[in-house]
Amino acid sequence: MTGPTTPAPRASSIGDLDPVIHAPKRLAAMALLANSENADFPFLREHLGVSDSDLSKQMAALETAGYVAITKSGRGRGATTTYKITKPGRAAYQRHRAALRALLDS
Amino acid sequence: MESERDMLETPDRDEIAAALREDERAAAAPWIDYPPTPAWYPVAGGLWFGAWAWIITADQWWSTLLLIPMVLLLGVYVGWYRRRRGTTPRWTGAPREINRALWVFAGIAAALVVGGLLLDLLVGRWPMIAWVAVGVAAGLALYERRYAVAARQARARLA
Repeated sequence: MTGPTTPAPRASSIGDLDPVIHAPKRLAAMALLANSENADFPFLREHLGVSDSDLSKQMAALETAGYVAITKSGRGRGATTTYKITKPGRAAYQRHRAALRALLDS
Repeated sequence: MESERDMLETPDRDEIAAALREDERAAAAPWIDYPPTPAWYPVAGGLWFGAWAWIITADQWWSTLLLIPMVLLLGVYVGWYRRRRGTTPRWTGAPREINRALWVFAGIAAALVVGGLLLDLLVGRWPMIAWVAVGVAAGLALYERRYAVAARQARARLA
């Protein structure tokens, strides 16, 4: 008697990589957000070593993909922008990371 | 029309390895990139916990009311610290060096709780309060030092 069979793991390919996360700065941002409750604009800018405008652009791309939620609070000099990874974002990040590892191991 | 996915070029092994290294460094950042802890923090922590121990063992009608400003004070501190740090690490996924420091923290906390309970039972309330205040201050100072060493080690490993 044969039991239920588990499908063989599919070999990872370039197609398993997420083009939204593949850019190095976006991958770093996703890794950071996946391991934090949230992170604010200055922390991300310092860690990624990017300019204000570049960070805004990269985070806007992640927000458009539904991977990151942006919260703005306050006005003027005291205003803060905070980023939080979303559930689909976390899943996409984990898939992308697994694909990178599989490509490295293949 | 080609999708963005179709336009991805196959990265070579070096590029993948570099991406995974950067991924690991970024994942550790919420734990290991933080501003220096203020010198007053262990003392303030000791005073806060000592006051808390005094209040909850006072057994007076007003003692419960005093817990409200204590909780508010804690909330103000947590809010300030989060803004200062810029991020809050999740409880899972800490670098291994930080995990060891967290075990030190758990050991210190357990010793403080057990010691405090024993002192309260066997010696009295005031020695217990003094133990909590001094023990928390010393424990936090020790833990902060251990954490700073762990963060430095993790930064060096992931550099």
